[in-house]
Amino acid sequence: MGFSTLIDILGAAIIGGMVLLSVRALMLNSSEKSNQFQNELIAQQNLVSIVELIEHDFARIGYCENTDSIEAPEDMIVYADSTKISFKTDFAQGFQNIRGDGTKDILTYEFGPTITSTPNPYDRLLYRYAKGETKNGSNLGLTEFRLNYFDNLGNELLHPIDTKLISYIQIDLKVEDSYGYDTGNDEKVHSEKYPTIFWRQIRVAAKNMSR
Amino acid sequence: MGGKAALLLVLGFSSILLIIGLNFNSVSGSAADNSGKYFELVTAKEIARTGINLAASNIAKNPGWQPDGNPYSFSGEENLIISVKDTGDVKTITAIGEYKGITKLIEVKVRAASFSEFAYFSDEEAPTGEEIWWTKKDSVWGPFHTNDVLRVSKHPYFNGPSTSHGGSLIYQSDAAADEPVIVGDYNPGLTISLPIDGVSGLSTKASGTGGYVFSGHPEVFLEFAGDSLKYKFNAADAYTTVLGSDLSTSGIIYVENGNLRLQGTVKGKWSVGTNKSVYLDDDIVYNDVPDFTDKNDPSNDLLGILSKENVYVTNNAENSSDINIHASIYVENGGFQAEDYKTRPVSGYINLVGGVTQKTRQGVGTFNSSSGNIESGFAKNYRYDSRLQRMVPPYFPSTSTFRILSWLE
Repeated sequence: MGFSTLIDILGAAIIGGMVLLSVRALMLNSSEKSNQFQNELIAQQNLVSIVELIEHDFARIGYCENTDSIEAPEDMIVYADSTKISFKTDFAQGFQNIRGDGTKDILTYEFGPTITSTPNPYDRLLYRYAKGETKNGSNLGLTEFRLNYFDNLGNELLHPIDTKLISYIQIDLKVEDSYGYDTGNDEKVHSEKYPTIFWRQIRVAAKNMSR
Repeated sequence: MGGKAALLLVLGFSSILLIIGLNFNSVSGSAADNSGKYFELVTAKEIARTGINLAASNIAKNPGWQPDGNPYSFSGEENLIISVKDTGDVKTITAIGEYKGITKLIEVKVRAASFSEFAYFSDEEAPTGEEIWWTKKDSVWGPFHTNDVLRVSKHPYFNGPSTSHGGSLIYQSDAAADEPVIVGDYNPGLTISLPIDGVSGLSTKASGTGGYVFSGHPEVFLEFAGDSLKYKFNAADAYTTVLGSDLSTSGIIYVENGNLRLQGTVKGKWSVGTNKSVYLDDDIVYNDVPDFTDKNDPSNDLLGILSKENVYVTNNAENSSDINIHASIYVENGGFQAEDYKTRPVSGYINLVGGVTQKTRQGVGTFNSSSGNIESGFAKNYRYDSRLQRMVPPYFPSTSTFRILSWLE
């Protein structure tokens, strides 16, 4: 083995090492991005689940299968503030039968307390419960649930909200990944650790309130 | 040997990158699927809403309309099915929208609307050449509509469930000083035509089976007395008393070419009217007075008063200190007013439980614009009878529109 062979081996080792380092960096980046995308996907799926549920429930504000029992529009919402709303509705009898049973129910949405069991310091429970039932909350990574109310002339209602004057509701939602990625990295800001999705529904007007 | 190693190396890296790429593709695909699914659901819902709007529009033009194009096409696909079912006086419109395999059902119940549902309706808000403002002293409880402009001053209160007007909303100075408080549904720019055959419709019904028509008398005095009815044709005469159901089983009484003078205690459902004017000579109230705030109050007493010309609160001794009126009033060419309201003495309150539909808004009194005190005639105390949202007097003109009772989706 001559000198030139030694040089060849050293060169090959250096080039091989550089290639391996590149591969390692590629793998690390890929892994990080993969996790980030996965977490964004989870947040997005959670958001869609919440939005579908909220749109379904809010579209039924004031609905009752027994039309004689339907309240006047101004009496359909019984409580409202920036993080909680209670309204009259008539629950679907099942997944296949969306009609109510003709009995008025009261449904409440309420932004709950911060969850301490997840790395994300801001995620909170969202309660959705019927009157008389236990508060059951779900953790879907909700970090913002804000309700703004407007009267018939488009003026935003001030707190405390006079529920009789509500004509439109604006809903703001923010969902973050509860577990995040690389959460111990102090160089990253919160939004880099916890993928965030924002949704705003402007001017929800329940059809039963517009009769 | 070196060539084979290089080939293996390239293949190995390619495999790793391929797996990473597939993983990314999978995540991206799931994200797209997720938002796509939401989009498809929303689109299916919008197609169903389109079907409801299509049916409602056609039913407004032709109440007997039935869908004849099922399945309807939306964006080139046959993905909308509409059905209309009549159950009594309620129509149930169902629309099923379908998009990319996702179906969405919307069901709406509607009912023909009657003018009796209004707490207040006017075609014109003031006699020609005059302006009448709704002020901070005014509040309307119940459905409100005018085809005219709505003039407001210092935050009048309209307590729904629906408020609408055909002309513009006019502030005496500006929105900050005058903007009204409107509770419930609000529809500016809506016109509901007042019919020209509403009173003649009552005449036709009264001439039919079960109705009764007084004719050949310039005045008919009619007093409700529980189960009985009293009538006479001159003030000085004695009343003739009959059982109400003997005179009219349908509860419809019409005076042909004569004024109707009315008072008494109403039991059951009645509609009375004339192609001349109606004078309210004294209280006309229900036997079983309902809780007017309760839509489902069990009282079965209900009165419709219809006039072609005007409905007056008579200027007489009986009405010199308040008058109580329980009725839904309809005036086709004139308005509801107090007789001699500008010159009669201060007479207390008009305590109305029911509603007023009129061609032209008229006066019941005058007040001092500085103090707000009544100077002649009556102050108003109008309360809406919530039962009018579900009950209609035996005959009352229809608005030719439909009211949404419930919306399910």
